[in-house]
Amino acid sequence: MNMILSPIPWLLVIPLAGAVLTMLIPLNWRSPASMFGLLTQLLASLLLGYQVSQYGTQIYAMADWQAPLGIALRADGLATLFILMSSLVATACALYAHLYLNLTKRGHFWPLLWFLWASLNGIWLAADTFNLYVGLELLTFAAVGLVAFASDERSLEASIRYLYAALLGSMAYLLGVALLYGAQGTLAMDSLAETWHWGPTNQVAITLILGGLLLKTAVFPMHTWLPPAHGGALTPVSALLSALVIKASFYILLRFWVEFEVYRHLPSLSQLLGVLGAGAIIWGGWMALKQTHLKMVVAYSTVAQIGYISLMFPLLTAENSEASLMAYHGGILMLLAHAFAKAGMFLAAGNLIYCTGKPDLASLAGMSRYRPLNIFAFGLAGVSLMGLPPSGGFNAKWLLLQSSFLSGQWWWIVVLLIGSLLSAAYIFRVFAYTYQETEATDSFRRPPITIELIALCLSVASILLGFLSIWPVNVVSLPGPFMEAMP
Amino acid sequence: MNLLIDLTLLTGILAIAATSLLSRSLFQSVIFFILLGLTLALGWIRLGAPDIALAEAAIGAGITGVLLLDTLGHLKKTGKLDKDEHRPSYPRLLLAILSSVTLVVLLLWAVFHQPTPAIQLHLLVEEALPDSGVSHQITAVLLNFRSYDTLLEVGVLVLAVLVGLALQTDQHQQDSLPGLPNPLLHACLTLLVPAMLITSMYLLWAGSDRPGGAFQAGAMLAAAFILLHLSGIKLSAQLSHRMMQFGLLLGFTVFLVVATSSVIGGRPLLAYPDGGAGLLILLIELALTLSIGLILLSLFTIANSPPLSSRSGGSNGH
Amino acid sequence: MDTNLIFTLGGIGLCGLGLFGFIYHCHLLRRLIAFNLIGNGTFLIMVGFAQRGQGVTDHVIQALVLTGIVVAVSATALALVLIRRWFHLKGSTQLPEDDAS
Repeated sequence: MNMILSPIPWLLVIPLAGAVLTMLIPLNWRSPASMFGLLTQLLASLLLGYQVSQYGTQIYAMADWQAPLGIALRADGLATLFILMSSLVATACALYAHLYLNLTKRGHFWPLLWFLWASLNGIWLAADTFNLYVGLELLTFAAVGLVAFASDERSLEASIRYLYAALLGSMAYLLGVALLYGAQGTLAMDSLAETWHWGPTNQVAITLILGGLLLKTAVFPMHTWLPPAHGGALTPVSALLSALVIKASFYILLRFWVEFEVYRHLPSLSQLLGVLGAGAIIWGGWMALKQTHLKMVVAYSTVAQIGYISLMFPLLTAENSEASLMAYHGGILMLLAHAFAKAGMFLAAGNLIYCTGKPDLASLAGMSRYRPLNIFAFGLAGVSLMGLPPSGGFNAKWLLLQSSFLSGQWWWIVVLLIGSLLSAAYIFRVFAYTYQETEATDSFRRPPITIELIALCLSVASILLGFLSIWPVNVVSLPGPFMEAMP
Repeated sequence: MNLLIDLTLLTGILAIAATSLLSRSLFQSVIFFILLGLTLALGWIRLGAPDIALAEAAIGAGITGVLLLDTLGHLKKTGKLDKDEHRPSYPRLLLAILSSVTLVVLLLWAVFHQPTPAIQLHLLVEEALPDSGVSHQITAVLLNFRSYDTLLEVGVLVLAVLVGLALQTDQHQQDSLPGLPNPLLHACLTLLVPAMLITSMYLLWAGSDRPGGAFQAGAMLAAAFILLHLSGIKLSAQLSHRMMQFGLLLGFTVFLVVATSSVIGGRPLLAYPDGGAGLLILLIELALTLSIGLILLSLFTIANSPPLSSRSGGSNGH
Repeated sequence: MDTNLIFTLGGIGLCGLGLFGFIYHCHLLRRLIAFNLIGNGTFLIMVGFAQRGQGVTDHVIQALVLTGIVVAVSATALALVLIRRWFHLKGSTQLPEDDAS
């Protein structure tokens, strides 16, 4: 492959350069410059998608030093899908933020967004354990900054909670990496996998790494930092955090899990992760049902949805490769559908709050009559989150159900059904508020039609995913070291 | 004999850490934390890591210590330093002991079952060192073999300043510290600051073949800046806001430009051209040193200046 | 007992102490100091454990620790900015106890 034509370096350089540039240029130039950046990111992601589907997994040796001495980047099917996902969702959120924030806030938003984006792309492409640590820290700082810059009391408290939890998580991860290095003398994922042996050192290392990443992903019962951070941030930030940021630590978790064949050697951990996922589904759903603020409902729904995604771990078993493949596809599809649906739902919720001027559910009365477009966007996203057909969420749940059935783990089916009922309950509860008739006149503010449409586009995408599921499933199944390590 | 030194250091480190953690007075905690950094620096020398010893003393103990002390001073002024500390609850104590003991047991188990590593990375480093443009292994790793990590790490530093600046809306507010009008201090400074600048440049230069490098040099530079700042000579007031911003971003920008130029030249990202590695590394390090000095200074002054409380809340701006 | 092992054990001790403090304390500054103890412990383990395995001075891991130290000081500075702002707004040095969730 010609080095100049590879989009891989540009996926990192453009966001980093965007961050520097948007810090230096005057406030009113920052948005136009960023729009250009958004375009190049979309093009680079599409080009990578094309190249990977045509030529297979791409390895990129940073600074021309081969791993394990240097740092390698690896664009396989999974990485490519995540790059495309984050480019699409981040672009939508960025456009929304451009219209939603005032000039000063926007000025601070752009460099933080570009750093966030650089770290996300860095994590999707990383194939080096220490490089992942630096990427995670960059991501944490950008995300904490984005939460904090709403600069009211609530968001500040949330950002401190978030920072402390995330720092502890990354330190646990680093400790695990240190043990792996001491045991095997390398940091590169590929050479670790080649020389892997399941001694006590590696078991403790994996435990620490998983613990740290679970904390960063906010898997139940380590989720307490998430609802205030995601519910208290500014709307476009909430969407970015729920749709993309928590997926990064989950993604690393999945890579470790499969590439080092943790599922084969520590099956009890798989069941534990499943139990945590089940706890998240039920507790998150129940708490979402009890919230009085709209964005907190959506934030607790994220806790529950992380639970669904975690259910793929107990279903990835060495005994049944067919069920495992289904669970993998279902989990990835669930994650993808959640990214679009949750971003759409947060943005729609932000629009509704904009209309009423109040964050609580009770003031939504009459909304479905006067602002049907936002209710529609919220509802479409809800369809995918509940897992009703036709939607990405439905296909994902269907695959997970089938996988549970095939591998004989019927208890997860029960969990999936209870979870669906709970999500239906908290979404219809929001609807019930919007259908209440109070005043005869329309006294609500009207958001610009463009930001209503952005929310709608994301929600529609989560529905469309139901018809196009075969495409992401094919992409993540492209051959590479990851697929070779699958059961 | 060496064993005795090591065991003494070990006992010292753990005792100092425990004191820093459990001392009733927060001031004492911070002082013991700084002391811990200095003791650790000795430990790093025993571990054959003089580079880390320098960084630990300058950054770990020095800059972190100054930041903590300064925050403490800020809290102290309002007189609420130790008052509103609730006694942590009993379940919390139980959880803390349980997790801490679990962690220690797991780590001990892992450490005493260490296998022989299959890969010897240091052999690869030795082999590639002649092509790296520098003769000090750590600089070669940081700025050549694993330069991508370092690029992102500088990004982390810039990001920390960026978040600080985003939280502080008013750019021209008065400084909280009036400066210390002490003639003796000023006399000392006229000697100390040039010496620190020279040391900083030496550390930077030394980095190519011996312990030292941009991070240690930058920390030393920052220490000089902070001393000047405390004595009333405010760099941030001397330089315009724009100049300061350029200074903060210079290192990251130069690094990024060098990285990108190699892609345009048809090489992988961050790959130096043949024969140009030594020079480019020096260029990057020079820019990084200045920027790291300014970044650490800004982290200090941002933490230092009170944010405006009369600000528009978190709502959007239509 | 060689130097590398002794300092690895020291690192484990620091991590244990730090984790205890991080969970036990409510005061944000004390928790930050505890976090830094965990960080220092991790760095000691990184170098001590790696060099114990390799049997020689390992410059790669030393370079990584330098990176780690810089990241840790950035984290501390960021936390202090947030803590000060929190103190300024609320006059408190700890977060309200978790009531819900």
